[in-house]
Amino acid sequence: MAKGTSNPDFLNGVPELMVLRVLRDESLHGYAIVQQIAQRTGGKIEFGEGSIYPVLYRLEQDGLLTSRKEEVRGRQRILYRLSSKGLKQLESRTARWQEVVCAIQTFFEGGENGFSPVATTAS
Amino acid sequence: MDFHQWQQQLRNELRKRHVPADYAERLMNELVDHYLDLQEATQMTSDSTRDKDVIKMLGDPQSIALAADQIPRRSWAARHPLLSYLILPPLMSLAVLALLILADVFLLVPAMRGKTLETDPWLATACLVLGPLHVIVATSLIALWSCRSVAVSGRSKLWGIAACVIMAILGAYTSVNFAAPTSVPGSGRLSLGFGFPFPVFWMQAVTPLVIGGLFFALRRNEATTETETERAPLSRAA
Repeated sequence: MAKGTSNPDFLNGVPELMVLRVLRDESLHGYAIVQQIAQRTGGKIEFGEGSIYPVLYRLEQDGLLTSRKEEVRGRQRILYRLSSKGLKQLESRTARWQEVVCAIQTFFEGGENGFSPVATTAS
Repeated sequence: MDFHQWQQQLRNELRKRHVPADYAERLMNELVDHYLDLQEATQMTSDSTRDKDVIKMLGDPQSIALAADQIPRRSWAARHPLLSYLILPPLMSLAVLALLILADVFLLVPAMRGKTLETDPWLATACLVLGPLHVIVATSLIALWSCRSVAVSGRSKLWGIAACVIMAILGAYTSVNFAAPTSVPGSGRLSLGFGFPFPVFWMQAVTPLVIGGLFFALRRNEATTETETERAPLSRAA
């Protein structure tokens, strides 16, 4: 997270999913969302931190998040919260994501159609 | 590049991409807030971290502006749903009705000149149909416009349904009557009012409701089809 790099294309939709997941537990502002993602992924998923805001605006526009202004230590901050529509989306997106992960794992482990596992081929 | 230059560059990029001013302003404010948080955090962890490292963490202005540019632009109707789908539809519908009546004055009245029920018996049927037809056309057009606007804006379909219900209520209580001249040419009358034509002209109330019902059903089918399309390849993959 700290390096300010961009996600590769295959991670399209993943930042949105992670934002929804992070906001399931509590209302947070942009910086805290980024910190949570960094913490929960062990710093493995990296993107420019400023890019989180357009993601948040898009999710808010789709009705998946709501926002409210709050003054913290003299600073106006915008807190984001998951909406009920967002919660439903999170559940369906998480289910789909798990299906994809499962399918890819099956593929690399050899699959049901007798694909040789990569490790076996290498040895 | 210091933070001030970074901000200026981002502002230019946003302007270049015609990102709406309110979005750009909000984004800039949140990024300043984020920058201050990053500065606080890095001061705590490492003294050697400089401004440019914090800027690097934020990302380059082009990428942020590009991401901001991809946010779908909201129409005026989507930003003001209460006004667009609850308050304006009755007013717009009355405006359409007024235009239709104006068209009658210029087109229908000259066509009927010199005619009476005695000379043209079909006038009775025409007059009986014409009044409710005007109301149906006015309310249905606005119901259709509201549904289409809701669909385009991505707002909840309930706004469209609410607009259709309002149109149905307006249709139920609006009365437009054409009275054909009986024996003396030019003695016909046109009256407009709000009363209880219902249930005689029940179609005036039912048509916007049918539009709302169809809109609801179509939107539900679209949502189901989208989910199925998205899931199908995944199911095959799994």
